[in-house]
Amino acid sequence: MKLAMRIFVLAILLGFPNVSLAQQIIEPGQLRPGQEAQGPFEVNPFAGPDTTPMNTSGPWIDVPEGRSKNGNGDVAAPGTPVIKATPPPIKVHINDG
Amino acid sequence: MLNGLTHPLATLTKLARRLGPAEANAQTVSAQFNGGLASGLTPADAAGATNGSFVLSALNNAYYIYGTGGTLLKSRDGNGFWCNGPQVVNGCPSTGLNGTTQPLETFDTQIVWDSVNARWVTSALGATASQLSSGTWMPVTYLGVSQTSDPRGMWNLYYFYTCGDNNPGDQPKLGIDSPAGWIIVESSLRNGSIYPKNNLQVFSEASLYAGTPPNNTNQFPFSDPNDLDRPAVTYAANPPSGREYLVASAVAGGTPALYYSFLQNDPSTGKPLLTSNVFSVFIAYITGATFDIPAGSDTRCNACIGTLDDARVRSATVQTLSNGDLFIIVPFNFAMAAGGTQIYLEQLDLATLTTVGGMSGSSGGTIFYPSAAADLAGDKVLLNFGFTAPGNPALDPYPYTDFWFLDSLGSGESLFGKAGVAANAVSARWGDYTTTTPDFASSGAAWSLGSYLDSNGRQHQWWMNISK
Repeated sequence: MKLAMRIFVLAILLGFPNVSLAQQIIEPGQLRPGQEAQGPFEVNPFAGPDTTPMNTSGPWIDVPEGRSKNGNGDVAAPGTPVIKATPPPIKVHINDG
Repeated sequence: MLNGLTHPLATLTKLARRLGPAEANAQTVSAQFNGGLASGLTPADAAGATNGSFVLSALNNAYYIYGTGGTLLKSRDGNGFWCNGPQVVNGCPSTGLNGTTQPLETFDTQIVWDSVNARWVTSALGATASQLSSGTWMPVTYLGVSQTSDPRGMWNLYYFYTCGDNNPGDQPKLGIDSPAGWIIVESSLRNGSIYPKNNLQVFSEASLYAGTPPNNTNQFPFSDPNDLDRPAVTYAANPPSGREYLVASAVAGGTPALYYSFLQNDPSTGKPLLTSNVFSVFIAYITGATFDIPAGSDTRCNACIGTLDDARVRSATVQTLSNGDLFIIVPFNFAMAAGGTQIYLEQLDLATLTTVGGMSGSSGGTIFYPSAAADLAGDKVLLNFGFTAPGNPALDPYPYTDFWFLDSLGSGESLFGKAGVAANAVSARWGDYTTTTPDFASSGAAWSLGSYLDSNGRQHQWWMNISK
């Protein structure tokens, strides 16, 4: 039995509840650039206990409103025309799979 | 002044004051809460999205789901999210979703809310332990879509190669166009320390949502003789029918040039129309079933801003407002005489293709990933500049996220901020990633996510909902 299949069967036997039977198993190195996107892997990735560091409360310090700032800047004046150009397109048919 | 130091993000305040009287304290913070601790690479590359019911943080190697009041509902390590279920790092299968090798960490995460189809769309990159130690990562991009509007439910997860070679992508940008039915992923492709190629990949939204393996032949790698450095491509979220936008910004490393351009489908003729305010280096558009890429580059310079020595243009965002105007924010990171960053914002009337508002400002610090979004009514803009000054702790002692709320783009301003309370000893890049999104549950409001450090130097994010 191929390794991927063994892992898949093991996952089912272990009762990973969120592994769909529609899931695909890909052998290592099987894919090559330009091939179809692989999937879908239909899962609930948030099932089970949280696995990231939890939030903590404060102490947080709010930046005072109206904090002083200095400097200068430029503004694009209203009505400023935008350059228009019509590029020569290259038509590429899209395959939407 | 901030803790006795002059705030380097200086010019916009004066500009706003010149444009009109500041409406101090007229805005309301409807909600604010911790947006999650980072658990992967530093900085956390804070990204997020909201649909009015859930607020999602998408960080390096971490996802957090909150209620709009800040209640943490679920969280997941990034590699757990992408490896077939709730397993943690060492529980992931050695093969499976990832096809070749299980990543130790995922990063450069993006997430967007598709309000037309009520789905979440997310993407990420990944690297194995050995790759992380060697500073490289897999030439694979992960792409996932939720099956419903509830992000805690089932997802369809995919992955694909980012290009026709083995160079990994960097900071892929997600764009959705639900009326036209496409999801676009754009990556700059890293080869050593340079980015000689970029790649656009276009997927059928219907296929991804239906769980049908999408064809990956719709990819459009392109190279640039000027060595593009992480161009930002943004597809307008939910544009009006017949108007689709794709913004590409790029940089000529070491060359005094910068680029950005955008496109619209001319509503009168239906023909694509390229418009360029500064440079256009690359533009693409979608009409019906055809994906079009104009040949060559338009290198005219209409209104270069400042004297550019070594520009870095990243993280352009574009949003179609309810009145049909197009709102764009383009951050320019370049070596100004005094060092710093220039930010340019523009609001365009699409009927006349003229600017109806705009502003620019510069900073003594560096801002890599500012963000902006207009509210649903299209008459207010929330900006989040983030803030960091790499290599200059005197300017950047306390990284924080910095919010500006503008009426009609520049006619008024006020600000909120969230300060860090620890010195920036974690990363010179800490604090420069931000995300801003409209509040889909409330006109006149927007959400924004930034980063800061707590008293222990831990990497936190901060969500704020601001209305006016």
